[in-house]
Amino acid sequence: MSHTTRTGEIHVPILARVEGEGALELRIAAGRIEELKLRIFEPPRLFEKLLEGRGPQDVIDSVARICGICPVAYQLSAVAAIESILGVTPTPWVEAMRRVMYCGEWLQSHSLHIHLLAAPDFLGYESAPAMARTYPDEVRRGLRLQGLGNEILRTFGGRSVHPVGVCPGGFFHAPEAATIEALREHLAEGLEEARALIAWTAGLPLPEDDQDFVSVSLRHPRDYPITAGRIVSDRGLDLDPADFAQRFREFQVPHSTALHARLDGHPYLVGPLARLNNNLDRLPAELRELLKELGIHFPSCNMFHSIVARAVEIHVAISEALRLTEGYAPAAEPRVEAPARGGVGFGCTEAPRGILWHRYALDDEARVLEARIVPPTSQNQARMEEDLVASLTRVGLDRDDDALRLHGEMVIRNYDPCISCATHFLDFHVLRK
Amino acid sequence: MTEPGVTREESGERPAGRAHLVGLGSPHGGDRLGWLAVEALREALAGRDDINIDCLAQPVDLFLPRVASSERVLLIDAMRGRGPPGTLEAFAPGELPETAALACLSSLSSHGLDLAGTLALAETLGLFPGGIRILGIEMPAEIPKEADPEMPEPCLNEATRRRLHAAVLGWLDGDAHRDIGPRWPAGPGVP
Repeated sequence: MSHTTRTGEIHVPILARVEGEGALELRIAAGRIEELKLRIFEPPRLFEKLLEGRGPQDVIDSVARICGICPVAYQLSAVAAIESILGVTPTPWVEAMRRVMYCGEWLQSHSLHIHLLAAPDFLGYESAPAMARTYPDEVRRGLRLQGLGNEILRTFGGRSVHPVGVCPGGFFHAPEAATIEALREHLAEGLEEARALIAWTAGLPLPEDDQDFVSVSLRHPRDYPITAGRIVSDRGLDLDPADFAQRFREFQVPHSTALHARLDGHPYLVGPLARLNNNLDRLPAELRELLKELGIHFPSCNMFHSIVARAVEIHVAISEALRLTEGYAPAAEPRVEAPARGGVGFGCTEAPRGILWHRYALDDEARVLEARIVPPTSQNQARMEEDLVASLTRVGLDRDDDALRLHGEMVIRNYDPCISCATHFLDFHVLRK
Repeated sequence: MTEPGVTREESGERPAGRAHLVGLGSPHGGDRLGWLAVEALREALAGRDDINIDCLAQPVDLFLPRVASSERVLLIDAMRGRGPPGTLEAFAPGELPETAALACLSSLSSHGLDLAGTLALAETLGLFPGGIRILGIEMPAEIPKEADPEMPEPCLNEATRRRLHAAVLGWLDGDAHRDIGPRWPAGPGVP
């Protein structure tokens, strides 16, 4: 059948190896994609409404429950917004240790995605266990790196799932020096593995698929962006997070319980590839040199280079955790006092999947009057649909349904979407007569 | 069935290699039964030097070096819909119920790496060559806190502890290739 004449529909009823529940619907008419919908049907979770009336600590502990993979991102975007309202400036020790904690989350999330979710696609396996029969050492390495990330999370948050250590003004508890010393030994071992991982991902048979898209990320004056920075794009955007709503607009589409988002009316990309594209000069020189040697050129407009970007960020995370814990001593006071105060505040940090923006309005007793959370997956939804149209057209719409379905799933998984994070909102209208 | 206080069955058929007993769960709600179980067993097994005991929050933590280096592993997790509260049921990895009966099958998808996926990966990688067993404990019926704010957290009563202890000793001291026993229904009065 010629791709100029094909007509039909393809449905992927349940997307595998992504967090949450979504589906893909595709209608092809006369050899062209007439309609493509990334359907997200996971029920809305209404988190923003649930936060109303709650105090700062409740918010920090509650938003961690939005996601089992990126709870620290939610906690640290929230605490940044709340501290800006309360007039609290964390100490340099707290800022450094929060960054280390965040590195743990990048490490565990990226390791999981590379080895268990994305790599099987590129190597032609249906699952990670199937891939592990041929690549046991690589999978073991990935699990060790993920375990290292979880070890960091436990060190600062008491546990790796929904950690509980963060509070307004700092941490409830400062880890003992001996604990950090043991962690540093594991980090040093992990750094070598991260270097090998970058080379391995660069050698994967990644599809060539250059596309035109806008990369959006944070940018920090000195560091690779994780916990703070201005919102920038590779097309000249440079914005204080407080002004997010001036340029970014969220809106509902009928086929998704998660909001879509646009920057100045257009889809955009957030996540590891966008971060790396915008912050190459914030990488250590040796990492830039390694990338050059491996022949992967950044900035890249091939979305499939995201897996390499994740490997690079694993190296960044381990390096940063080592740098920031050198000569570690527990703070005598791991937190500063946080008085109750009202106002409006913003927090924006780099979750593993991209920028995570929070806005809170608090009353005079620091209880939430209004909350708004914009997670990365909902920001990427429009870009994913745009990518799917371009990528499926490029591989050939005359391919059989199974081939198109598999390619579509690979494109979606490559974004590491966290659908459970994205479905936090319901635009509810009622018509009464 | 062995009574509490019996420390070892000297059968001469004990499997070789270090064993790991893992409670899966979280600190609150019905899901805490896995942790409660291993904490209760920690005391009962204190005299033994052939087993390590851990509380883990997610299946993927089985790959932590201190766990993954064990010869065999027994996971204890809360379950739902398999009998009266307090029922114990043992599974081999390939026998896990398709419905999300075990708490960690339903509460933590971890981007697709649930308990069944984790165990499949562990077997592929050749971990725990002495075997993997899963022991479920049926949770009490959920009662919303709003309905009864004074309702205590789920706990294990003495009868359930005794049956757990017996089941774990059976696994620990029995033939490595024999299942630890399929099912122990809760008796009258068990929570």
